Amino acid sequence: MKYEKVLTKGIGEVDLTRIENYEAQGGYQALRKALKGMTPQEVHGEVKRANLRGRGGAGFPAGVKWGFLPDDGRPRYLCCNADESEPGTFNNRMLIEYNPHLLIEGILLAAYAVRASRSFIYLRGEFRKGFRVLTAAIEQARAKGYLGDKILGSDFSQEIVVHRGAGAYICGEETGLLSSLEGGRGEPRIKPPFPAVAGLYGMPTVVNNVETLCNVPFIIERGADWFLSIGTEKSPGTKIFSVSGMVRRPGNYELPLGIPLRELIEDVAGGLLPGRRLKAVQPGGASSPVLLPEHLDIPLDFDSVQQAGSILGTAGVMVFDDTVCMVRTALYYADFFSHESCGQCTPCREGTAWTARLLRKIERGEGTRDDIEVLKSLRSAMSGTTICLLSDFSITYLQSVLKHFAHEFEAHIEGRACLAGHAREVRSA
Amino acid sequence: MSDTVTLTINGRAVQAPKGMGLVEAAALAGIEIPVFCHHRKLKPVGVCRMCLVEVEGQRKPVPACTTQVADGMVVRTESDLIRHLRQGVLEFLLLNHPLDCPVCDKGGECPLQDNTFKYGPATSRLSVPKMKKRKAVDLGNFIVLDEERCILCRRCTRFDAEVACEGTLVVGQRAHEALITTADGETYDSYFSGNVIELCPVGALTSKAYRFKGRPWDLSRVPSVCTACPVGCNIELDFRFGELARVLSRENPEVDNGWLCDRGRFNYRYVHSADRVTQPLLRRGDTFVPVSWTEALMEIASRLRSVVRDHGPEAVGFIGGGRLTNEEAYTFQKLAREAVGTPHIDHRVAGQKVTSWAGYPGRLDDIDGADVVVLVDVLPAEQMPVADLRIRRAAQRGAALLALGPAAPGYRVPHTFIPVMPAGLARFLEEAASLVAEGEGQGRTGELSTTGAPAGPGPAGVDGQEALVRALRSARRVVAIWGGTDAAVGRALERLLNACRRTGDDRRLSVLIPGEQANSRGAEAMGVRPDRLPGHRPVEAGAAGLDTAGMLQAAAQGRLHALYLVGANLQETYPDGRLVREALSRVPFLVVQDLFLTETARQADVVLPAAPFAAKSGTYVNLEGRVQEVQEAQAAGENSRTDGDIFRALAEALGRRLDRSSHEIRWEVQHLLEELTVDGFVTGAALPGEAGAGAPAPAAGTARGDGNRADGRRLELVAVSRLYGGGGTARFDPAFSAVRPRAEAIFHPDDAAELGIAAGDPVELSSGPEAVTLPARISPQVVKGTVQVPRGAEGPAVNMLLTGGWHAPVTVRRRVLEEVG
Amino acid sequence: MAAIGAAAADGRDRRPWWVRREADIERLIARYPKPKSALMGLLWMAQEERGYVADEDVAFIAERLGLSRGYVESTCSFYSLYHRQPVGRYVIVVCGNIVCGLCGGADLIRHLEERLGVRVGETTKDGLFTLLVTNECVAACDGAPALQINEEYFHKVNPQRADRILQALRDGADLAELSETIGLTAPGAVWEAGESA
Ligand SMILES: Cc1cc2nc3c(=O)[nH]c(=O)nc-3n(C[C@H](O)[C@H](O)[C@H](O)COP(=O)(O)O)c2cc1C
Ligand code: SF4
Ligand code: FES
Repeated sequence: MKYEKVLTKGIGEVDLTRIENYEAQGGYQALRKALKGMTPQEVHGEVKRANLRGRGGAGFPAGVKWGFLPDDGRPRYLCCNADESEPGTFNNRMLIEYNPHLLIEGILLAAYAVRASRSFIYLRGEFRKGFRVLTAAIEQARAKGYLGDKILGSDFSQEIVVHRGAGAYICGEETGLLSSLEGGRGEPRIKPPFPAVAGLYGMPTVVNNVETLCNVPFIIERGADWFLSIGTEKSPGTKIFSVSGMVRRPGNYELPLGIPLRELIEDVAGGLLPGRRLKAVQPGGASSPVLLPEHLDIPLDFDSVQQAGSILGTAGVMVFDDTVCMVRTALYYADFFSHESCGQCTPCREGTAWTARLLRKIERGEGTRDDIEVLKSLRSAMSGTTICLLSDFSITYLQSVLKHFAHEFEAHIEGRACLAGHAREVRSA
Repeated sequence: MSDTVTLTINGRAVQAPKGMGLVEAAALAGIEIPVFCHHRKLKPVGVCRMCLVEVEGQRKPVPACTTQVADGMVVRTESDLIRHLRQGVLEFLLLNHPLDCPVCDKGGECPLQDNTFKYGPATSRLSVPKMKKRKAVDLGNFIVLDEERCILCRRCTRFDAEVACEGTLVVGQRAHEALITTADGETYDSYFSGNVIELCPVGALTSKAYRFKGRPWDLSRVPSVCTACPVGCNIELDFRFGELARVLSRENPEVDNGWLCDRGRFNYRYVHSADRVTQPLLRRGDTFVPVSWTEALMEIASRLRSVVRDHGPEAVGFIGGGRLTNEEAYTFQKLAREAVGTPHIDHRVAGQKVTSWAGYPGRLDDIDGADVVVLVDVLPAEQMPVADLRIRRAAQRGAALLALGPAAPGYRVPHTFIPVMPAGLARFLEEAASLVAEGEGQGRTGELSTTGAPAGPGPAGVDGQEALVRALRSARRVVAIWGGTDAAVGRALERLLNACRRTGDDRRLSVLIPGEQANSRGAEAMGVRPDRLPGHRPVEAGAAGLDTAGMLQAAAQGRLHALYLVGANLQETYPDGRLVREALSRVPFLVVQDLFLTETARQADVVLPAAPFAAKSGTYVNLEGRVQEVQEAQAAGENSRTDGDIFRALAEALGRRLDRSSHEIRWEVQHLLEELTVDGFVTGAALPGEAGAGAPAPAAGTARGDGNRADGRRLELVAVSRLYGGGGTARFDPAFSAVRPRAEAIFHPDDAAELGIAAGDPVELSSGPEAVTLPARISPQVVKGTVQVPRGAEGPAVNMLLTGGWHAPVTVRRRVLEEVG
Repeated sequence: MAAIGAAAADGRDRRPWWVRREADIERLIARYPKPKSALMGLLWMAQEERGYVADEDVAFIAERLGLSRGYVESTCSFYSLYHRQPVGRYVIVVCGNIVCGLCGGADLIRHLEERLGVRVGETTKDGLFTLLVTNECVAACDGAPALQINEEYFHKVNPQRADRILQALRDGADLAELSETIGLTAPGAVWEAGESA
């Protein structure tokens, strides 16, 4: 089936980092439309009506979030969350590197709608190319009058500051992001107060994901009704699925929300490698519980995936075939989370490290049944007990594989060779 | 709107003030919520997760430390879930904890231990080896960190950031590799580092002095008051089998807020130092011989009697007393005035002229409410450290903090430093007074031709005087803190405050003066001054005795035949080393009463071993006029005696009984203090007038012309106070030998460049015939045109260059090293 | 730390970077509502200038932003991309997360260790390469196994391609250009990649 590309239109065909090319395919029309004929409230209203759900992982409606900002005269800030570090997720990076003006336009519209006094892009430190591209694109936009003082002759002025992170997954968490943007350790903050009330420098702040903001120009240009006509009733619009792992054509694919998992894997991504069998799929990044082959027909929208026992998250879809050892997958994540915990909360700091050590022991064939019981019991100690959700995230996938692939853990414990036939691997982490 | 709310905790209705945290609110109702990271004096951060409780309507448990009470809130602190989560947190904390309680300093007073007994899991489920971390990390001068015991509650780093406002001790790295540390190449250098030991809820931060020395159950505890500086922090002395093992805070919110400085906390080992003088010593030619108390007192009595007989009582002088209790100080002046009959007595041993001031009485907690704090020729961190924490907090919350003088106070909090040379300080303040009185600032731009120092590290482009005047004009509450070394500055400051008062009656204006010794104010109130009798009563006109400078000059000129020094190491502390040297070598009879054989004591004819502070009972007056009482915590030891006992015995040897009992002295002192007390605080003395009675004569006679050293350059020598300097106890304390300031000459980079001086170069500072050679240091913190040296430092005695004040012009030359042929 | 001596005889400006780049520093600080926010940017500048963040950089940044050195160190050490020790001219960071790990990353690490003659965490003797492995997914899973060299991407790095990259860098190739060519960064090559893993 052929679907219309929206956010990704032109990528790979024309060089959209050049502002002329972006304009040629209709770029900055939405900004023009808003500044010429819409009030900030109207822009906000349109986004709200479109039910644009956040693409950063939680699926919270952007329009509703913008409405939480108190109207008390304090300066407000808009932060674009471009820290994309969820394992298996790489669509923000593509948008930034190949369609930077779309993001800039989206930020400007959002900033207009929420009356932000300044906007920031919190860019992942690893995105050096993205930094170059965005910086250049901002200068192009400024030269054309899309950015700076009195944009396009309106009363609206805006600056966009690109802030480079420096290697810390937790800075993707919105309050960790704010701590980092203020020049500190990227340590999440206790909520409430939420960023909308007390965010950057204690001021009302909106944090939105790159892909979320990239949708805004289209909603403004084509209207909420158009947006609502794509995807499902509760999850409208397209989504860029980042597909990776054991498929023939890994990559970013923009598709309407609600597309069946089977279609994504078998048609769009070219299916599995020859001779392999599907073992499990993670539909939404590191923390999403496994889906099994029996789930192939579920539609990929926020609610359906949840009903199936997982989460759509960032739509970073990772496909594991029968060559993959599920104990090892859990170990990869455990190493990741124990490295990326900010270290504030006791359960997260200690629990992630303990999890990783136990899994390493099990993976090496030195584990015991007690170790498995301990791992299972950590769920209650590490879920809902910490400042942010990293601790919860670190344990959900593990619990799902402990449940669905108990036999693989058993095999490791009994000292039998790994069922997937992997050699024992000593990683230098 | 009501200020209290009603909530339900574990089914019980609890009333609590609005804004209170749940931990405190529960405590009001007698319900304990266990915590680790939370501390009532630090901002809650909610990181340890021990205090999680259930609040109805919340999806997840919430930390009680960061959650504020709300009307109608329903809280459960003892549900199965909460108990389970607490066990979880404890299990996590103990996973890699070394469980070395039997050898841990904190054992017996450890919240981790206590909470584990109360709430913890029965056994450990750890099946992998414990993670190893570093065991005895040397963090700084006084502190050692055991990383394995640390639970990362961050109390220590929060103290350093929020209370000390220094940000030296920090959390480094992240995740399970997070640790407490400092910047690479830095140590945890702070005057307040010891507080983190008390804050640490485990035995991770320990005192080098106390490590492995005792267990809490072996200790007997005695409340006391610190005598290291005039703040008078409340302390607890912990003795182990009769030996002073450690000093802890005994929180008094009005004085110390529960904090101590490191001098107060760690400077106690001298008490048991082997260097203590433990027996009276008599000079026999070039050596001392130990003698009995009777022999020593008889010798002193007979020598004093013959001096009085031959030269009259006025040939005897008494110096010291700022370290004594009020009762002792009172006895001291009785000894001088009644037993000997001399008017020459003075407690001031380090050049201070004014120790208290009746005009604008100030209290420590005035700083808390101040919107302007002005520092005049004073370095509070060095002279009144724990009070400096209040100043830092005030600046942190937005009060204007301005410092005037020749030395910058190295604050990390926002402040304005206005460099003013000592000689121009009085005029600077007087001009400011006129500007305030004029009522408008824009009319005059400050002409600082002579008064303002060359541009130093002050705010670029902002005129110092204007900044001061602007701040004062809009201020409601002003606290001035003044060093008290120059009476003319005091009078100018008075004029400035008078001008402020005239601009509005609702203003609260106060002055604090840190005395040069812990009980300077008490000694003054007890009449240990040549111009004042007990109770600040002025002596009859014309009957005033000599002050310290006067006595030293008289001795140097052969007019004084006996000098009696009490806790006064003048060779180190008095800002005219040459005069002290001349006086001490010339005076025919010298008695020194001290704990140690100091440079000064070495020149004595008789040395009397005094007992340390812990052996005394009595009262002290702190810098704000607060009277605080201490009880004897420790026997004086076989052969030393308290100063008060020594005075009484000597008076008796002189044939004059000073009192029937120490009770009587107590009673008299209490009576005197009560007379002086207004609103609960002892009032200060009047400022000495321009030519007022008792105004000490300028230190003439020793003024020396500067020899013509054409090759040198003249800079103003500024000798600054240092907390760990001085001639007293820190010198003889092993814990302080490493931190005692070294003598050095510190230059502004521009001056150094002009003089061709590089860091480490030997430079010669000279004044008249005296010259001192010091290693050079270069720092932009030093005001241009001055050369800064620490007072009471280890090394060449810089006070040889001074003539009664803590600054003087000197000639500076780079020393060319002579070639050794 | 004083700025002494300007351009030297060889034409290189030997003043400390913070003197040479004062205008950049000012611009960076001015971008933010509060100067403290420029901390990370200044750390990046220091690292660009000398490859790592030296103690004197920490001291300068603290002084410039009115912070304690401890604060700067605390922030700096939180982030894994700042180096506090000297590193090689090219810092190779292999993605050690799940997709790269399962799709040949483990072999790639072994291959690089062998070719460079160093263990992970070490720098080659000629000071050219430092080899690191990160636990963070570098957002290049469709190009697994991926690595970054001084934060420039290289995708689908099989042993042969790894050798070509190393050689090109030894031969003085421009890193960013190399990333666009051998690195397979062009769209289509990576996303919607046709090549099988
Ligand atoms: C541990 C953690 C990591 C996160 N990482 C990211 C991220 O890399 N990018 C992102 O956009 N959101 C991330 N989020 C979600 C953000 O907190 C936030 O919800 C999001 O930026 C909001 O944007 P949206 O509403 O447009 O989705 C993360 C959340 C958590 C708890
Ligand atoms: S849950 Fe983990 S990552 Fe989140 S704030 Fe707590 S310690 Fe930091
Ligand atoms: S005491 Fe509340 S989280 Fe530590």
